[in-house]
Amino acid sequence: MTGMPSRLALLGAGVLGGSLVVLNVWVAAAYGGQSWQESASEIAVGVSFAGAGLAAWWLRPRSSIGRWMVALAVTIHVSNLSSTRPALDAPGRDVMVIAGIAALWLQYPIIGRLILSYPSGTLPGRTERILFRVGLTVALAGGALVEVTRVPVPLLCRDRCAPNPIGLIADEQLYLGIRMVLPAVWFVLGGLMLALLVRRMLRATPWQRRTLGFALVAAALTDLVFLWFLALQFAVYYHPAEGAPYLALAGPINVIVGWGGVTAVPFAFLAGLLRERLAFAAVGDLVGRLEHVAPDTVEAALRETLRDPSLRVAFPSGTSGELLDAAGAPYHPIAGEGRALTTLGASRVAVLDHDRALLENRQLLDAAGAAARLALDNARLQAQLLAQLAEVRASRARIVAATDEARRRLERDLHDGAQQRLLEAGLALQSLRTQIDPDGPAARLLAETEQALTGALCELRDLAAGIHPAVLTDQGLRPALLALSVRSPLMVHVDGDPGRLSPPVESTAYFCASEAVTNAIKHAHATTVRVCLRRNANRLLLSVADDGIGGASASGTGLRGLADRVSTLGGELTITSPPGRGTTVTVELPCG
Amino acid sequence: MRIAIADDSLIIREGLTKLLDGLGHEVVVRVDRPDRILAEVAAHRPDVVVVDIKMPPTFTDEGLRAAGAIRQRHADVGALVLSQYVVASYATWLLEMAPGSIGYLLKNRILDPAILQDALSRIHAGETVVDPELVQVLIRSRAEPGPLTPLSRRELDVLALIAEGLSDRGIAERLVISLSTVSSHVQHIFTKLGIPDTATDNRRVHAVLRWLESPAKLE
Repeated sequence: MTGMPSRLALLGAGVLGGSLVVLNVWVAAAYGGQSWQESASEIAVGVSFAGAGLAAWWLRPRSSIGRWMVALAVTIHVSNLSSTRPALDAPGRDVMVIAGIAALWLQYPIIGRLILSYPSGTLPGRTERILFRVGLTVALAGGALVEVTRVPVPLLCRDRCAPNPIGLIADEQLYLGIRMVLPAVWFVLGGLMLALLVRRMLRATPWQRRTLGFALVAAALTDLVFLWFLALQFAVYYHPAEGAPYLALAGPINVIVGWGGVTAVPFAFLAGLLRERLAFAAVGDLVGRLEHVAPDTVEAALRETLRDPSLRVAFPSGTSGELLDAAGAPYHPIAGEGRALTTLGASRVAVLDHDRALLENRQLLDAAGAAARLALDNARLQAQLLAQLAEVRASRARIVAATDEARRRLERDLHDGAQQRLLEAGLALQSLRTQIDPDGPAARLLAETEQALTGALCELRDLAAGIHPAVLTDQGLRPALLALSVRSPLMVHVDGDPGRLSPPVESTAYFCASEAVTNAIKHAHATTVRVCLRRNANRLLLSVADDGIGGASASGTGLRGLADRVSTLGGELTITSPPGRGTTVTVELPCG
Repeated sequence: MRIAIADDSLIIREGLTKLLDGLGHEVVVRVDRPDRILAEVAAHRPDVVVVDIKMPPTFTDEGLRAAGAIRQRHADVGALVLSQYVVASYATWLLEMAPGSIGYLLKNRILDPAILQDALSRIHAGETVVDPELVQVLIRSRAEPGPLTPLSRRELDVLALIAEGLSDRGIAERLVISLSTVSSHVQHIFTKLGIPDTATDNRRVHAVLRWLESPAKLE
C-alpha cells in the first residue's frame, strides 16, 4: 500500500474510470429509464470521486485515500448501470443489473472507510477496523441476499420489469424485507461511525481537530443519506399503495442528495488537498521572510507555516547527543502520544517536536525544514554557543566555589593547627613561670617570649581572617566586616545588615569590601571608610566609600579579579573615583 | 574557686589546670566534649565553667550552647566562654540566655593571668564580662564621635566599659574618677542614645550591646 505511485496503475485506473463513464453515458442516453437530471447527477458523483481520487493518488501516493476514492468511483459507475433502469432490450442488461446491485452496497463501507481514515488513509484504531470489516461483510452478504431473493416489484421497476436470472429464492416479501432491513443496518453503522469520529475528535490535538471537522460533516451527511434511503424503503414496504408519491419524490430528492451531499464529499477531499498546496505556498512565503528573520523567530515562523502552535524547535548540542532549546538550555521533548520528533537535514540541523498529525504532511514538513534551513542553522549555532557559554559560566562558578572551599579549609587548618599549638605553647610558658625566680633574667626572657607569642597569635589570627574569615562562615557578612574594621588601621564604619546570604555571595561581597578597604589604606591615603550593606528584594548592594585622593582605576588594583568574580555570580562591580573626591566601589549581586 | 574546664585539646586542659592551680583555684572537672559537661557540672557543682566555643562534633558553637544550658539549669554556676574570634551576636545571645555570671573572652586571654583572674572573680560575683576587643568593634562601627552619635570622648570610654560589663564602681576605679561622675556620665549616655536605663548592671550591659550591635541608620 506504500511506495511511489505507479504511473501504470494510475493510467489503468484513469482508463477504467473513463471507460465506465463512457459506458454510463451511453447506457443512460440510449436505454436509460430515469430523468436525465438523475442520470447526470449520478454520473457526476462518480466522475467527481474519480477525479478527486486520481488527484489524491497522484499528490499523496503514500496515503490510500486516492485509491479508495477511485475504488468508490468504480462502484458508483457500476451501480449506475442498474440504477438507471436500462431498457429490456439493452445489450448485456442482466449483467449490468446484477453487477450494479452488487456494487451499490459496496459503496457504503468504502465511503465509511474514507471518512474514518481521513486524512491519513489509515484506519486510526482497532474499533474503526472492525467497523469497516462489519460494513464490508454486510455489503457482500446483503448484496448476495438481495441478488438471490430479488423479484420484479412493479412499484420499483415500473415499466421495465424483467425476471431475475439468478433469483434462486425469489420471494417478494423476503426481498422487500431485506431491502428494508439493510438501510436500517447502514443507518446504525453510520451512527457508529459518527460516534467514533466524535470520540476521535475529543481526543485529538488542536491541529488534528481542524482536519477532522470536515470528516465529521461528511459522516453526518452520509448518515442523512442513509436516513433518506430508510424512509424511502419504509414507504415502499408498509404502504405500497401510497408509496408511489414518495417514489415520485425520490427522483428529484436523489438529484439533490447526489449533488448536494455526496458530490460535496470528493470536493471537500479535493479542498483538503488544495489546502495542502496552499500550505506549500506558505512555505514559499516563509523562505522570503526567513532571509530577514532573526534565528529566534524561526520557531514562530515554522509554527505559523505548519499551523501547529505547539511546535518546538530543538538542536543537537554538538558535544553530546543531548538536545538544546533555542536559548541553549537542555531540551526535553514533550511526551505524549500525539507528539512526534522530526529530524531536519542529513547532518541533524534541527529537530522539530510537533503534533503527530503533521507526519501526514511529511512533504510539507520537509519543505518547511529545507526552506528554514539557513535560519535554523544560525539558531543551532547560537543555541550551541549559549550552551557553551552557560557551561563556561558554570565552570567559573565551580572554580570560585572550589577556591572559597580551599580558603575555608586553610583557615580551619590554621585555626585548629597552628593557632592551637601557639596557645598550648603559651600555656606551657605560663606554667614555667611558677618554677623560676620572678626577678631573675629567666623571668625577663619568659616575659619577652610570651609577648612574642601573643604577637604571633594576633598575626596568625589576622592572617587566617584574611584568607577566609571564620566569622563570615559562622555569622555572615556584617559580623565579618565588623571584625575587619577592628583589624584595619583606618576608621571603618559598617552600616546595614543584609542577614545571611548564600556562601558565594557572602564571600564575594566580603572580599570586595576587604579589597576596597585595603586599596583605601595602600593607595588612597584615606582616613575614613564607610561600608554600606543593603538588600533590595533579591539583590545585595554593597558600597565602600573612602575619603581619599580618588583617581583609582579598576585595571590597576586587585579589584580586577574581583570584578570577574562578581560577574561570575551575575553581578556588577563599578568604581567611581573622581580625583580628589574619594573612591566609591559599588557591588551589586543577585542573591535569590 | 572550683572550676570546670571543657576543651577538646588535652594540652589546653592541662595547661589551663596548672595555670588556675597557680592562681589558687581548684579544677574539679575536665571534659573534652560539650555533651558531657552538663552531667559533670550537676555532679561536682563548680563555681565557674570555662568552655571553648568550638568543640566537637561540628566545631561551630557547641560550647556556647553548653554554657547557655548550664546557666539556665544552675543559677549558681557561672560560665566563661572562650572564642578564637569575637562575635557580637554570641555575646548578646549569651546575655539573653542568662544575664549575669557570664563571660565572653577571646581565647588568647588565657595567656594573661591577670585578665583571666579578673574575669573569673567578676563572673563568680554575678557580673558580666565582655571582651574589650568585641566592645571596640562595636563602638567603632556604631558609636564613633561624628554625626551618628552625640557622645563625647569621655562618654564613649564610659560606654565601652559599660559594654565590657563593669559596674559604676568598676568604671570609677578603672577611669580613676568619682562614683558620682560616673553616674552622671551614665545618665547622659542613656538619655542621648535613647536607651531605657535598666535596673541591674547585667541588663544594662545587654541593652548597650544590643544598641551597639544594631545597624546604624543612614540619614
